[in-house]
Amino acid sequence: MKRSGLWRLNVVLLLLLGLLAMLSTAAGVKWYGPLSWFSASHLTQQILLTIRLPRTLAAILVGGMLALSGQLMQNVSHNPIADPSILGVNAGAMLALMIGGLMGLNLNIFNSLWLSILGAGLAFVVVLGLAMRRRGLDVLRFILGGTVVSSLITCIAYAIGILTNQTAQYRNLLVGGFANVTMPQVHALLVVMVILVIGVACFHKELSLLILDDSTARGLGVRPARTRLLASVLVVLSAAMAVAVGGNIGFVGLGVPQLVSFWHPDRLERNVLPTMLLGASFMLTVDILAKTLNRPNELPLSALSAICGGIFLMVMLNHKKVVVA
Amino acid sequence: MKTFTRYLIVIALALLATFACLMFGDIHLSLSQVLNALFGLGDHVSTLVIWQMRLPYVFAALICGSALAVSGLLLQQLTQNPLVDSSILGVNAGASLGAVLLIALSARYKALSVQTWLPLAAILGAGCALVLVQQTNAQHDRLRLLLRGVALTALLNGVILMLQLNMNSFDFERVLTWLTGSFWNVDGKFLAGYGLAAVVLLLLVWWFRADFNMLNLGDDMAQAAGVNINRTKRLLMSLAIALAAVAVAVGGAIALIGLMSPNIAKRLVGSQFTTRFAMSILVGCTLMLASNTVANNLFLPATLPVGLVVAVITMPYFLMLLFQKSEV
Repeated sequence: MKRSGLWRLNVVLLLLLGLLAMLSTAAGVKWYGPLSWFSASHLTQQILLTIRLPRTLAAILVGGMLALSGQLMQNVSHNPIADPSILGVNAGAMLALMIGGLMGLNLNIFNSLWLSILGAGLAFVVVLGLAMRRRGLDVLRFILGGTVVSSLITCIAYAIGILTNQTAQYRNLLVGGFANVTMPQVHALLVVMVILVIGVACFHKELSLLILDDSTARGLGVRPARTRLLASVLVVLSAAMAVAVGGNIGFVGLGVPQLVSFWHPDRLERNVLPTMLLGASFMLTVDILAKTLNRPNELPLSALSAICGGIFLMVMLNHKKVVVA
Repeated sequence: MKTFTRYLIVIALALLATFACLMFGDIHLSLSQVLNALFGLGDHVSTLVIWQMRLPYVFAALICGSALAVSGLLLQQLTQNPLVDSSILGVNAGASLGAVLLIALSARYKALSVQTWLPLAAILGAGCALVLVQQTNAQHDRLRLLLRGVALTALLNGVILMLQLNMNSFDFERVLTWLTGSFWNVDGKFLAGYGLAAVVLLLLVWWFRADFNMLNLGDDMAQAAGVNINRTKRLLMSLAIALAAVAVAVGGAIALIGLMSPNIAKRLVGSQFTTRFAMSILVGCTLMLASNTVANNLFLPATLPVGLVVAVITMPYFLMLLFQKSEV
């Protein structure tokens, strides 16, 4: 019964994703129906292939990646309110990208990837270092410390922007979005996605057992410190990649895993696929809204996702008996 | 006696910060030049610099510092939670949203002047935000209250960003400086109006100090002592909102001063409301003046928004405070 429920969920989500992907390639400044892939002029095909398709793929990959990394983070921190954007990881990547841009680095996909990994990693190490006690991770410190570090980093980024007269660049990073995604970026996203999936697949048992407290997990043959490190590396990698391509997109990792475990409470390893599918669908929906609601201008993706996430978090704190600490 | 000396020390620090604010800048003035100019004996240049360029900022810092500090004190008294202030609960973000909305609308409808409607917009926004944060039984759960504040701030900032991007780049910059906190208007009339409002509100708080102090005992004890709890709390809340709105109108969304000042004051003079009230004001003003001096001088000739400097100073303190609390 349980197993068939999972299958049904997966199939429904997959259909939803397919539908949204079709809608996403069709919608935009101008509407191209699904048939224009075959019949239309060379120009139309060119637009579909070089503009619409990379954008759709990037949204799918980033959504799936962020949702999965949110799930990992919630598992690691034993807390339903963990998310890379709350914990300062996104802000760190943003600051590094900004500094790199100011130092005259060419922000191609390779440079922006290592820069944002560096920034995200440093920020995460700081937050983790603040939250580590001798007994293990202190959850309250992790969340609130992360929030404060995050806003501190954002302030510094803005100060740098002012001092160097580069507020325009700050603005671009702040806004985010998939409008200018190119095929090489999609390839890089794909690589990171494969690494993430392989990592989770190889260590799914250990990662699932992290939800237990440390001594129990140790009794079951898991080394908590090492597993936590692995999960952190995966989280930082995927959050950094997402920032490098799409800007500061928050809260996807917060709501999506919560919803999936609400529909289908189960172990981490079984919920990986539905979480990724739902994350991708969510990201596609937001992206479609961003490019169609205010045509021909784009709405800022980061603001849309913050609004959705903020509402979700408020509702969550209101209704469910969420254990926050 | 100990309290008295501590007051003296903080007053001395506040004076020091004031004079630092008056002396340093693009044009450096000596102490005697400043004093001469203040008493009307100075030369032309120093009089102009002091009266036209420096003093307005000092007044703006005093208004913001005292209003934010007392607003934070009231909110901490209301929730009995030392980790709370108007910026954490999203009240500042609410007031900013009101103001940004007004700026966006005034670009379209010329009849809406930002100057006249600003206080109303800020107060409405701040009130809505506080109602949203407070609406349920979250008061008993301190951490949950903080997290609701975080969520609300993220949500409101998202809305602000949406509005911002539909503006022209001039308004965009204006809103951005607002959101990081800076004294955007130092016109004499403007400051006088808000200064008057701040003084009236502070006097009101002083008038009701006995009732507010009773809340320290807990609701039941305070009720037994003859305090009308619901009325007092409503009053406390409206005064806190009004003070936060005044501060946001003058200096934009300045973070965490309201958290830090009452806590430092508590450390210096204890949790008695009356003594803590005066001390919070002093500490808040000192912090704002010092931040203003740093903001204007650290990277000459560029100036930073005051709010940024305040954030960089106060956030580590918040972390420290947070960690002490969770130790217990």
